[in-house]
Amino acid sequence: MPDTQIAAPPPPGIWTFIAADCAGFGIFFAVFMSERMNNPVLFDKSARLLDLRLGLTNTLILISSSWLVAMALSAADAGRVRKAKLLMMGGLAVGSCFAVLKMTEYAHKFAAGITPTTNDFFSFYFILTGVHFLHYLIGLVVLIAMILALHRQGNGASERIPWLEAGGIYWHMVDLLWLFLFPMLYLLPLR
Amino acid sequence: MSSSENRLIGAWALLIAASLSSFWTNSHSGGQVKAVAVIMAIAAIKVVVVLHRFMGAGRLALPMRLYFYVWSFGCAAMIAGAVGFSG
Repeated sequence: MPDTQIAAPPPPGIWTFIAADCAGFGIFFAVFMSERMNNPVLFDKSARLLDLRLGLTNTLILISSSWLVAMALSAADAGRVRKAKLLMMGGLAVGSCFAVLKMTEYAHKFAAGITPTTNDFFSFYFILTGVHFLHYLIGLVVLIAMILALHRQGNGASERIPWLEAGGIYWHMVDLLWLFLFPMLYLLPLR
Repeated sequence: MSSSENRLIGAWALLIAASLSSFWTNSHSGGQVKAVAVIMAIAAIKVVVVLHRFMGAGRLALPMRLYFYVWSFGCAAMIAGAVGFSG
């Protein structure tokens, strides 16, 4: 039975941070599209070299990981520490697959002689996915910290964890940004 | 299952189905540019679902909520518009 709420309301600052980060990515998207307008043929031809199925799989991975973290926070909200911890570990495990696929994708590109200097499209591709990947790596660290905090909670600590929901919101932002990156980079060249 | 968990499961199913629809639209577009508008509309809806169901943006003050709506649909419209303009 639920006994106590674990997650405290997130500090308002996290939403300001998310808003600023989204604005930054919005500018990246605008610059990418503006460059694409100058050379749509090159951008479409280059984008067709990306592995669409790998991009889709990574989308499904991030959505599922985000969902597991949301379920974990819902369990934490109801005071179910063990369930929250297990779901959070599931979110981390599923989320980690994104890194494996992204590294595979980068490796295939480099093996095929495609680098950030190949052309404008690939400069943007590596910068945009690289900056997103950096956010993702920070998110993984946040998830690990959340699991450790829940573990301590399960061992008798009773205080609420103010940053637990903020950590979840950050992880969802990683998913949110990919939801635009995926169609913009992979789906614009219609097949 | 609590009602909040049921809502989260529903949101997850919707996001998965929407992602597969985008993929399908891309592969069956016949090269028509209007397919890009459909793909980007789906992306914007997915972003709003994540904001609301996973992030709890519904609890935000109206100006902040509006900001995120404008950002979601603005980015989608900008991307689709740029493709429509340049082909």
